[in-house]
Amino acid sequence: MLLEGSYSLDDFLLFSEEVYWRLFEVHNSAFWPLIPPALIAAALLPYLLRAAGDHRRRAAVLVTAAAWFVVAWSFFWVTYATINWAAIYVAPLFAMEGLLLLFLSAQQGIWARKVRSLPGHIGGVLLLYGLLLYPLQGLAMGRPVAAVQLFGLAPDPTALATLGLLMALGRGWRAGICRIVPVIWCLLSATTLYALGSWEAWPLAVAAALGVFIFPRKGADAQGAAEP
Amino acid sequence: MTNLGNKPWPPHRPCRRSLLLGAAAAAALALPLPRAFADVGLRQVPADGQRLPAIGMGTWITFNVGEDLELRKARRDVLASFFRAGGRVIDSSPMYGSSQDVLGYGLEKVGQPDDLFAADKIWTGAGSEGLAQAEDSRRRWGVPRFQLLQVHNLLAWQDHLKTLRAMKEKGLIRYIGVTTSHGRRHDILEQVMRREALDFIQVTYNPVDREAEERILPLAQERGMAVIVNRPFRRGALTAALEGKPLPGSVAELGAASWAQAILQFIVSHPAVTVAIPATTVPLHAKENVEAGTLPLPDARLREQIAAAILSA
Repeated sequence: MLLEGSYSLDDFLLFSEEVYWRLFEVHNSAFWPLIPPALIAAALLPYLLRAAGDHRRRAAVLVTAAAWFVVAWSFFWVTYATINWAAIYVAPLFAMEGLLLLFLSAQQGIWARKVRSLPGHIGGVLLLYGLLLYPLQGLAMGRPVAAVQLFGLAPDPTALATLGLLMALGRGWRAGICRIVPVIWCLLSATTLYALGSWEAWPLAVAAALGVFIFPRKGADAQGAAEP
Repeated sequence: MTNLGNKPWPPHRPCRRSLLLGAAAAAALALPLPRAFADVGLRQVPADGQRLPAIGMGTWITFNVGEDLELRKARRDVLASFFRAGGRVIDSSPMYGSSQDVLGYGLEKVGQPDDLFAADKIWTGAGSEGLAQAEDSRRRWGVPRFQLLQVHNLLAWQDHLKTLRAMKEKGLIRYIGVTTSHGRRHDILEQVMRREALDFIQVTYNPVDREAEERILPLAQERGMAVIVNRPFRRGALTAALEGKPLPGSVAELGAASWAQAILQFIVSHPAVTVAIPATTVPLHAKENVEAGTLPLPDARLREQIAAAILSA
């Protein structure tokens, strides 16, 4: 083992696992006024997903867009940049996703009417994973509640929930474009966690794969509005 | 704010703040080097004969804790333990995230030894940014000046060496150098060493990564360059792999109490090596690392025994 190549993935990391997990505690502490709105947003999204009507679905995408802007500024620009200089290059990517979602929310006739398709079910599971299970996962791993990763404050649950939302609701190329940044982030985060030796990399890698490969079949949703 | 452009190396007139800090630190840390260093453990810098403790401290990853106050205090304790044991050489880089800021926090809290050997690097692809980056790094450390500035991983080394040489001529820094790690770019390093007048080089070297023995370390001796060794424990992988395995009796007889100390003895026993810079987050390990530099050095036969024992582990 000792004679294996001396250059490994973890050599690209600037920080230790301890520092990485504690970063979310520091982040939550610094931006605690944002926690209540983040929790409300997380509670609201499943309701907006299940309720009928384009305006509710647009509202869900608007809430998600706001989450990406907040994460871009608070997490990448302010918190993560203290231990990783590359974070300031990711912040614009997250802000761009916020803009793309804003653009998407203004589109007409691209929303699936039914979410009970296979992509819809997978999207629903991903959404719940991002909003609920991912934060609980940290607690189950023994990390303190103060370090919980929340949708709208931390990038992983935000990306996971967004992918779920887009799978369940979004149809056509515009929604497809909005998947690119969440998929990229899931891959980057999975790589980081893998380098840190955490199994928590794998769900993110699976989510990225789902985001790339699972799309509604053309014409499968008979009640869905046609792509303009 | 001190500016690199108007504070020459000699003579240094310490400001009131650094005098107060120095006095507090001397009282708190008993700053004169421990007795053990009076005879052993000190290495000469070939350029001017300055003597340095053989074990310093690196800050890659370990000091990058951001704004986390609890971890900053923990690193302050590492620094205090390192200084108390007699450690003086600390190495960092603008590439290491918040490490420079955390070092600055620690140095402000525990005080700077008068003979602190502050080593940092220039890490930018733009030659024109080297001087500004050096000043930014110095401000983050909170030190009056760096003793050594190195070109990080040979990035834009031609431009940066010009800048560093000019700084040295003005007395703003004492030494200049270049670095590599992981055994990379040794061919270019060799060319630079043959072509340029360097005071220091920095390479990876340990009982497992011995490529530097072939050309780089002999060339450093030939050219009169001091050598800083990084990644002595392969970022902890070596000591982790050896945990629980007994030390060979002959190594223990030299006084090594742990594999970490045996590895450091191996490294600094190479005649070309000036300082090894292990990193740690544990105050006790910082002390034990420094103490390893004061232990008797293994001879060639014992060096090979250490290497063989590690490779067979």
